[in-house]
This record gives sequence, structure tokens and C-alpha cells, in this order.
Amino acid sequence: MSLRFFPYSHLEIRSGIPVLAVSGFHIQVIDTSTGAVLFSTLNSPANVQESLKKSGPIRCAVLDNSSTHLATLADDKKLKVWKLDGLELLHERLVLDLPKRPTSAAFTVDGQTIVVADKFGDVFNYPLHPIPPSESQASSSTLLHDEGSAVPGGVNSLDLTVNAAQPTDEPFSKKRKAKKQKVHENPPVPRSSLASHVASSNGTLVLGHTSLLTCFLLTPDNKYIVTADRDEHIRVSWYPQGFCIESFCLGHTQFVSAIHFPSDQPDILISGGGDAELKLWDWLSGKHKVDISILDSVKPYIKVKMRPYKRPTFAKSVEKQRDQSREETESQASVPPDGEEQTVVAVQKISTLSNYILFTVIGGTALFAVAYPIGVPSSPSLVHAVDFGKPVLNFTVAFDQQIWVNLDFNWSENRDDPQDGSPIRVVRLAVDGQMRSMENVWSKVFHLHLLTKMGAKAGAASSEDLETLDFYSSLKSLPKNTGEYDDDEDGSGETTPPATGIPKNIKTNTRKQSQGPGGGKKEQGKMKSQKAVAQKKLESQSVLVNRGGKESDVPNF
Amino acid sequence: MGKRKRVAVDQTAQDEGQKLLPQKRFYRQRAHANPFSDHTLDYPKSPQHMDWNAHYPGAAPGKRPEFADIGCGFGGLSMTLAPLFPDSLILGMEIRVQVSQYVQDRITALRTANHGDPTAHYQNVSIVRANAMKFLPNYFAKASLSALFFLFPDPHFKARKHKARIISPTLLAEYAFILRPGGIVYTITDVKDLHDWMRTHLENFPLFDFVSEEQLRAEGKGDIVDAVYTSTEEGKKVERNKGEKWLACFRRIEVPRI
Repeated sequence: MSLRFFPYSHLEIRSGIPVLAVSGFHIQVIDTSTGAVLFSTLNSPANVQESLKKSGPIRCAVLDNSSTHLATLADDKKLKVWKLDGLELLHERLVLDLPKRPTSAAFTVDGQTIVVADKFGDVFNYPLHPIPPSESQASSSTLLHDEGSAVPGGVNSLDLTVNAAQPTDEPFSKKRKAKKQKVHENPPVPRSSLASHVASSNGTLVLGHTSLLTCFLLTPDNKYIVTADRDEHIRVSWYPQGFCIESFCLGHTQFVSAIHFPSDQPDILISGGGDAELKLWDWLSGKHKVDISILDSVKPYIKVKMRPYKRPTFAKSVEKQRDQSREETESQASVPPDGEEQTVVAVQKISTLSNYILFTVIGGTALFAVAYPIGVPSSPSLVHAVDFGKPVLNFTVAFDQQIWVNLDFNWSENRDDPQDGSPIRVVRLAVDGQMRSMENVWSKVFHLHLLTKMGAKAGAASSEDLETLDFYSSLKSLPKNTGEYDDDEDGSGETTPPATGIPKNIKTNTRKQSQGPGGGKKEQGKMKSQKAVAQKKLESQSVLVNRGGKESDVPNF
Repeated sequence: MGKRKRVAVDQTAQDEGQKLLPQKRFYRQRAHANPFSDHTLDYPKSPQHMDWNAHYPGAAPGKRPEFADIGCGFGGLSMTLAPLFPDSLILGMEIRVQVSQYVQDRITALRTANHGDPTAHYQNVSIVRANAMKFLPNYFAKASLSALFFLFPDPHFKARKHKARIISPTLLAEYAFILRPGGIVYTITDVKDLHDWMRTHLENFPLFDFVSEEQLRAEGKGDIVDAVYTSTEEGKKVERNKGEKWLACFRRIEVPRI
């Protein structure tokens, strides 16, 4: 039986420091000059290995600006902080009491705060180092205790007060803490029943969406935080005063899954998601600048397809029996029949390099480049693509302008193919936007590391382990579940409502739906008054006509 | 008998008006809706994409709603405020299909029955079926509202369900965004626990300041406060059951950057 290996999901390539590579459960630090593995969590102490294994595949790894600390998030609720030099696990902490997992993280400019977003749509600040050990102990123990009890948060909120009052070793962090206490949106309240959004480990709430938060960015000056969600919103809030919303960038008609600030255009935000185009915004005002259409160029490369998520539906007859009480179960008519795989566009990552916007899509086998629009483009932009044959998991623009692309080499259209090819490919962007794949020694190096270092029993992946990677679940979870993903339904609100004056907002289809032969009692009751209104309207209309009244005087409703 | 004769004319007019009004019993629906699930909703991409003229055909083009009744239910407050503020646009928002349809039919009936009335024309009130916890910013631009109403919201008693409450620290940021500085958030409930919850979170939120009922009355907002207390269907039910009502109002303030 051939061994299978985890692909690299994340690379961090900076000038002057070793390359950081994340693969499955593990992290490697690789020397840039020799290609040798300097540190690897495969060599970590047993307890760290155990913890990594327990946490699941690493989903998110962020490095602070000074390349001193690394923060990682996996499938559990733990935030792990590492010292990059030596790859030493400094501490790990449970970051959330909420049932939802953390999804993404970022360091603030000063490297002293880690900003963490969770699946429930909330964003929290955590100090780089957790509270002093004695209290940390207490905190985590209360947390464990709380998980069993019905009132999580109450004890922890009290903990927060205690912590704030405690002097800390570092004067700097104390200052920060004091500052954060001030902006705490939800100061501890004595009654646990009033606790909301309470985080353990000294976390403070920054903001929250009532939606799945897909990604967030801090502006380079850390004065604003931009958050994007599954319900088409991009929100710009002050940072750290996240309760002050500066603007919304609204116009997407599908989920937003990637946002990016071009480094040389700090007032612009590029966003992408399930829509047919990338959008450029003046993010401070929320003003939409321009669209770059990508759908047609990207679609041929989307190789990973998913059956759409389907709610367990009630048979139509059952629904009828239940009368109007279940009318909330809206029409399922537009959901494709079982088993039909859909091509879902979901922008995975956006970046910029010289005059080009680089991006990838989830489950797509290519890296795309499109010219940065200058002014209002008259013709549709040309999207260049370089195809790798395997789905792209991530890409990184290195300091030397080479683009490193992580591939899911385990994937193949018929699942039994053995893995082949390199886990990493390196690409160079030419001035004309064409991209050339480079036969780079590095891709070989990575391949080698994969086979040798990761090939040891701990690094090889069982097929169950590979299943846990679940790289493409977003294709299923991001589109709406109402069946309106098919573009036949107009969710844009752009068209003018029908002349009847009935705002199209309120669906009348439920009325039709429940109308059996002869209509239900409720329907008849509704119709009676509606008919009376129509009658009355007609009367007043005719009166007006007789009087020669103006059309606009007629009540439109 | 004579008494009846005297008001006969009024009575027929009233009867006729009554006939036009939809009857609630045909629009009953269970009291809860899951705000987190994907409803088949139709909402504008952004406030600029909202055609308010279709909702308020009698109002000046370009006019935007100023009062938003979140979870308006059967629309009691909106219908009471409409004649009181004939020049301000009022929007009710309700997530339940049947209930929003009722309000829709009610508005249509009231507009038809009161056609030509200088104040009670009901041309300034409308309803959208919407999930306010997700899509308020799609309807209302920054600082466009002067009043937001949360009247007898779903208490979501279980601690597990608290996150579904309409007042939460994270949602308050959105409410503050759409309210203009000086705008008022009105909350009322007959559930003491929920009142404590709403009041605590609003008090703790940096962009809201508590404002007392007396203060509001002194500012001439007594009519609104009265409507908040008594006009909603829920409010009337509480009265019938001799329950207590808890009012808490807050003003949108501004804070400096730190």
C-alpha cells in the first residue's frame, strides 16, 4: 500500500528568514539557503505532537511582522502560539466558549494582539501571551467546569475583572490591557444570565456578524478592520473600537470569501466570492468602483464539484397536510435534483503583484492573473491562467515576486489515482500578465521533504486523516441553502417592482402553494378582504376618472 | 335604538372600512422564526438599490424611511404612528411570511379606505419581509433613521437561544450605524429577564445613552412613547392579561476615536 501525504496548505516566505510550511497537522521551518529542514513539529516533544494530532489539520497560520511569533488555528477551539525560532510551542489556549470554531487570525502591527474570527461571525482580540500562569490555570479550569454547567461565561466574566486588576509583568501589556478594558463592549456583568459573547483567556469582543464570517483584514495602519460574510456583506469598522461601523461595501449578490488590500493602493479593497466578478471598492466610503468579470475564464478550471447542500425536505403531500403552519418551508422547486453536481465559483484568495490581481478559486486547478483596472475598463479584462492539473490550495507571493502555489496532489478526478507531481509549484508573472511555471529547485526540495521527513509514520496520512482536511467543504457551505443559488432567481433587487405596487419583497407564492382545490379556509378568508379592497379601489378609481382626476392620485396599493 | 340611529352614517363607514381590513385569524403563524437560517428572502443589494417609491407611492421621490419597526408583527405600532407623522416614512420589518402578508394587506386596506385623508392616508407606512438581524444595512444607509423600535421581541428564554435575541452587543453596532446621532432606540417587553438583558447591553454599548421616559415626553416624543406602550397587538395582550411592561429607551451618541 502506498503512503499518502498531506499536501502543504500554507507557506510563509519572507526575506531573510526560513520558509515556514504547514502540512496537515504539522509545521516545518526550512532553511532558504540549504533547503534543509531546520525545525519540524515532527521532532517536537510527545505532548506537543499529541496536542497537534488532537487539534486536527492546521487551518490557519499567521506570523507577526517581526517574524518572532507564529499563531496557528486548527479544527478545535485552541489558539496555539509558537516561537518561530526553534518552533517551540509557547502556549495554547481555549479561545472560545461559544460552540463555533475559530476560523482565521491575524496579528496586529505591534505583534502584541492576536485577532481571531470564529465561525459564528464574531471577532475577538487576544493578548499575545495569555494571562499569568496561575490565573490561566484557573481560567481554563473554570472553562472546563463551565462546559458542563448551564451558565458558561458568568464565572469567566468575573475572571476578567480580576485579571484587569492584577498587575502584570510587562508594563506594556498592562497598558494595552487597560486600553482594551475601556473599549470592552460588554463589560462583565454580575449576572451570568446577561453574559453574551464572553471569551475565555482574556479575549475581548471586537465585533460580530449574524452570519458566517468568511475572512477579515486589518488595514495596514490597524485603524480599521474589514470583515466579510456569507450574506454578501463587507463591513468596515474602526479598530479596536469595532462597535463603530464606518461603512458597508454592499453590492455582492453571493457570499464574499476573499478580500485584499493592494499594497500600493491603500484606499482600495478587492473582494471576491460566489459572484461572477471581482469587485473593487473605495472601502472607507463603501463606494463601489469597478467590477472585473472572471466567471467565464475561471469556470473551465473548476474541477472539484459538490452536490449542493440539501435540507431534509418534506414531501409535498405532507406539507399540504400540515396546512399553513409549515409555510415557512419555502418552495424547494429550484433545488436541482439529487446527485447533480454543481460548479460553484468561490474565490479562495486574492493578492496583487505589480499591475496584476492574482487570485485562485476553491477547487480550481489554476492560478489566475488579471490586469489591475485603471479607470473604467472599456473592454472585459483578459484573465490569464496557468493550469496545474491539481486543485490549488493556496498561493503566496514571495518577496522576490515569485508566486508559490500549493497543490492538492492527492486529488484526482477518479479518486484512486496515486498522488504524483510536486506539492509546490513556483510561477513567475511576466509583464504581459502571462505566467510561466518555473522548474524550481524548491519544488523538488519540498517534494523531497514530503517524502522523507513527512514520510515517517507520523507524517504519512491515513485516508481518514486526509478526509479531515476537507479542503472543499466551503463549496457546499457557502452558497445559500434556499435553492436560490441558481441564477434564475433575481435576488439583486435591481429590477423595479411590478406596477401593482405590491413590493416584491413579500412573496406571494405561499398563497398559491397552499391553495388546494377550492383553496383553504384561510385563503378564502384572506381573499374576501382582498377582494373588498380591490372593489373599493375600482370604485374610487372610476370616481376619479369621472372627475378627470390624475392617474397619480390613484392609490397604488 | 335612537342612539344607534344617530351614529348610523359613521357606523356604515366604519363597517365598510372594517370589511376591507384583513382578519388576523387567517394569517396566524407560529411565533418564532430562525434568524440564522437562509430564508427565501428578497432584499436589496444595498440601500441605493432599494426602490422606496414602490413602497410609498404617495411620498416624494427619493424620500427614505425614518422610523423602522423591527419585528413589527401585525403592525400595530406602524399603523398608529402613520397618522401621527404623516410626513415621515415608517417601515415595518417582519420575518414571518404570513404575518408580513397580513400587514401588507392591512396597509392596502387602510390606504384604500382612507384615500384622500390629509393625515391618516397611510401612504407613509409600508412593510418588508426581512431578516433584520442580517440585512438591515441592505435597507438603511448610514445615519438614515431617527427611531428604531424593538417592541415585545421574541424573548428566547433558553440561554442557548440568547444569541438569537434581537439585542446583542454585536447587533447594536449595526443599529448604531443606521441611526443618526440623536436618534432613539425604543425597547419594550413584558419579560423582565429580557428587559434586563436589553437594558444592560444597551447601557454597556458605547454608542448608546439611556434616556428616561420623562425626558422623551419633555422632548415631545410622548405620542411615540404612548404608542410604544399601547399600540401593538402584543402590548394589548399584555394589558388584557394584566401583565407588566418594561420600557427602555436609548439615544444614539457619538464617541471620539482612541
